[in-house]
Amino acid sequence: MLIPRLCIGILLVCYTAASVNYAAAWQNGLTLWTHAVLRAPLKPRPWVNLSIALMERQRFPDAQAVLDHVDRDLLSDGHLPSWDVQDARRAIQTNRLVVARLANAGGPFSR
Amino acid sequence: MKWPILLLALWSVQSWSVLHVDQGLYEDVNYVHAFQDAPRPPILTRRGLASVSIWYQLQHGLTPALMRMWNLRLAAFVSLLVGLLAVQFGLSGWIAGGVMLLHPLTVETLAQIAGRYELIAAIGVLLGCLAATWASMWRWPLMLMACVLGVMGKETAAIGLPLMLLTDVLLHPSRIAWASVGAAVLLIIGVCLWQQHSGESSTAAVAAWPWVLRQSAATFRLLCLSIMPIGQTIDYDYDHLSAWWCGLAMCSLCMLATFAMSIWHRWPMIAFALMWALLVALPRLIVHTPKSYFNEHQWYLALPAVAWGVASVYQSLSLSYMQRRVYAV
Repeated sequence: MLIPRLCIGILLVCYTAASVNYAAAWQNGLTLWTHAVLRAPLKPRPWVNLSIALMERQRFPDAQAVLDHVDRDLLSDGHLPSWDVQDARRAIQTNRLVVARLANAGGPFSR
Repeated sequence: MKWPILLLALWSVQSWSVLHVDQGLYEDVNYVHAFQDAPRPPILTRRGLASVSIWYQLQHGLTPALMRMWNLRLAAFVSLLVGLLAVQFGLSGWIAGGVMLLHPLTVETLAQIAGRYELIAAIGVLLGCLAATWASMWRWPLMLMACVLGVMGKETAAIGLPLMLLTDVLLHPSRIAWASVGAAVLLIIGVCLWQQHSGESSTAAVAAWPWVLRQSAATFRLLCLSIMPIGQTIDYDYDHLSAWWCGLAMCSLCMLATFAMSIWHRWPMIAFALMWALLVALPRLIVHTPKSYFNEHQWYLALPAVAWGVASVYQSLSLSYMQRRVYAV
């Protein structure tokens, strides 16, 4: 009975290690969406959410650069469904306004 | 091996990794922050109980970390229910509960406060399945009440009805029981189709077959992650998969469903676990949610199937191991 129990024990330890490893990506919005864009670099949504996380940290030039990258490089991809493209365009338009407003009001930009 | 001590130690490690985040993330923006200065939401509606619990904790000034602690407690209760059901099925409750508690696919549900919806939905469904294990006629109203409780967590708990009937089939097999499962599945499909065609105009932009293909790929990927959790991410890029891969995933799911039905008599627990997971995925193939495809937190209700499957495999391995030792002696 030792070997089956040992196998299950090792499985549970591996599950815990994988949980701790993945939970590290959930530390804050920046780590979460950075983790997501590394694994889905061609998808607009994680990039747009990354730009929001950058804005929350007052890294406005970086947020603007991310939005420009999505608009210029990703939305012309023919693989994206139409609702994804429309959502992304709407989000980029809104977030660009927010970046411009916050950047003008906030003074010095980057950390 | 002292299972309680091992589980407590591992759960402490997992809990610490989730609890040290003290801010709302991902869906918390839509489903938690929205309650900050709002009046109390209605309780007797879909998502009502989960919404009221979040609203109540916000009003009492709980930090995100403390609200996540409540999610961890609810997850522990879900694991307890999974373990109790495993015991009813003749499996090891500690192993099933441990797998449910520690599986990496639970991280997305636990790390966001909005995971409360999934947790309460799972509690309702599992309580209904526990009621289904009783031989008394009182189990039917209890199952219905548990289903309502689950829907007050999240509307996806409506799939709990066929799941509870499937549990009834496992323990009290009969043709009528199987017919009731089939009828419940058809009812859920009908409700999903009605929901889809009377839904918001944004979903009309999504064509049916491409959605089914992508969701099939998402379901297959989540099934694989359930067994080998490598490559988790919050937003996988299913749109860049070719139609061939998605079609292959859909065919694989159909083959798995057929396989589950064919092995019911020989390996009933494995068949039950497979059917449970596929039933949880079924509404997602019909109802379009264009913001994202099938997510890890939406897969939470399918994880008990993984737990029971692992416990069943352990039982088979233990039996064959013991038989070999007996022959050796």
